Amino acid sequence: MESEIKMEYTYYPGCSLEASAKGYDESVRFVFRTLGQKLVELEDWNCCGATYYMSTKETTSLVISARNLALAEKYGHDIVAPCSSCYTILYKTNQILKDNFIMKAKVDQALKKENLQYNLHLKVRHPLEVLVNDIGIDSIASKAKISLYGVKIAPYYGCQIVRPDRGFDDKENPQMMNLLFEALGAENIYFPMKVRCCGGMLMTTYPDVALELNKKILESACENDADVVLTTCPLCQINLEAYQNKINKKFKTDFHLPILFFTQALGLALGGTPKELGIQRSIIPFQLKENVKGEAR
Amino acid sequence: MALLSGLKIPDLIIFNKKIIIHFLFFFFGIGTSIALLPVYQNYTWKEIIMKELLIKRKKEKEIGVRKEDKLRNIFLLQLANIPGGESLKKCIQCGSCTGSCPVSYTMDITPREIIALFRAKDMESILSSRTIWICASCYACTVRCPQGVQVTDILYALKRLAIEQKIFPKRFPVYSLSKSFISLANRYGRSYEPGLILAYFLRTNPFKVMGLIPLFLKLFFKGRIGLLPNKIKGTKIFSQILKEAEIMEMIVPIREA
Repeated sequence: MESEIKMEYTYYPGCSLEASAKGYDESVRFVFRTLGQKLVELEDWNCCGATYYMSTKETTSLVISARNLALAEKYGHDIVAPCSSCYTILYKTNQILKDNFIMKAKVDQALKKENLQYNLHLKVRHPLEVLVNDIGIDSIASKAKISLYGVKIAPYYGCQIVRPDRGFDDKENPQMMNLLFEALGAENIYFPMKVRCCGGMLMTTYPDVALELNKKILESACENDADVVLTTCPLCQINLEAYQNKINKKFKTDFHLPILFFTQALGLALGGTPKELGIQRSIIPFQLKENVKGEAR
Repeated sequence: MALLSGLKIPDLIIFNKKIIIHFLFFFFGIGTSIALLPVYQNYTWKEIIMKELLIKRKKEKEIGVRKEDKLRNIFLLQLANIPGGESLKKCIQCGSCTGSCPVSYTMDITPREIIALFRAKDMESILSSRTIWICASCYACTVRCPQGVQVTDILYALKRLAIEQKIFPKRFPVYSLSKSFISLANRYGRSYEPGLILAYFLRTNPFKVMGLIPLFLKLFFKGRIGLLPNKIKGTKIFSQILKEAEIMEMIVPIREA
């Protein structure tokens, strides 16, 4: 066994992890706890603003996400944001504030109202990258209690964690999830749609467009015989899972594919029960039948 | 009658002519000023219409040029705020952005054409297009651009500009969603999904709410929907920060665009 390195992270759950993606929240906490890492939730965090804010009011959006950064800076650890959107926005804000001193001055002026100041010392990170880079695939694999042998997974990275310049993995063909789950015994299917967009908020504004995009992703996963799609993003998860009925109705298809968060599958391998990991919250149930190929559905 | 009795027959004909012209122009959407009418007495029908159209076109052109310049200037300032915004100049019109865009098939103007139109000085067509609203911000274009043009961020800047200038239809879905989201986030400091969806459909099409009830119930029984929104502790201070941020929003940095 490798020597244990205890690291501490500041945890920024984000709004959707409190509600529709509760399973993600539970499983992230479980995985970090099991791997012996400390995750401290950021006190009194506020909404990051998501793409809605960023695309309508620039300065205000930077101010509200900089408030989180300023609060987190006091903790002295890297901030970990599991939601892809939160991760992107916090990362982008950090980047813009470092690049653009005029914006920084404007943001500081607004933050003064709460006696906060952001000194640009923070690193924004995603749990996937933390797990692979800080803890290490080997270390995780050595702690796994259940082999995922025979489970065919389709790792779906979505848009915002790899693009545009996050730099922690390849932009067109990211490998982190593939390598991680390969080490745990799962089988990666051929999945060319792994970074294709699910449409995000288009599901509410232009449903026809978004349904088409989601259909293509599910089609690709089903054609290649996936047992489960693993996502890193709450919005992708809800789009792919909750709207499968609608897609089936519209395109006369027959999808019934479980969509899990990657931490939930990882948690199963680490010996967690479905209840601990919030898997029972999925609309389309997923059950792991031990080591029997093809029956993992 | 007393007023009309003083008029000679040719005068009456001209008077009628004026009224007819007036009606004609009214229906064609061309405003004619009464002050101009006496001038027309010596012109034929054709000449009158041609003249009116010419004046109209000239006016339109002047307004267009002024508006174009204004929109362009605001856009260039926005661009200066984006890291790597100047890269727009380097675009070689290869179309990689359009090719990699997952939603370009439903756009009326493709991302490549947006940049071409910007160069052709046609900001208004850009801002009234569907493109800027349908972008799902997946950044595929930005990543694949061989010249490093920040296409997604440029579309964001255009979106902000269109919202600022209010160039979009009423009950417009994207704007309504943004507005609903912002008002919720401002009030509670955090987003609240059921509230967001409800507010959005009330703003756009209230009848569609019924269709969402099955999904709502499904998620609710799985414990994925909270009954009440989560708030942050200091909502009062938070709103003060927002107020200050609004003021900061109005300060435009002076930088070479």
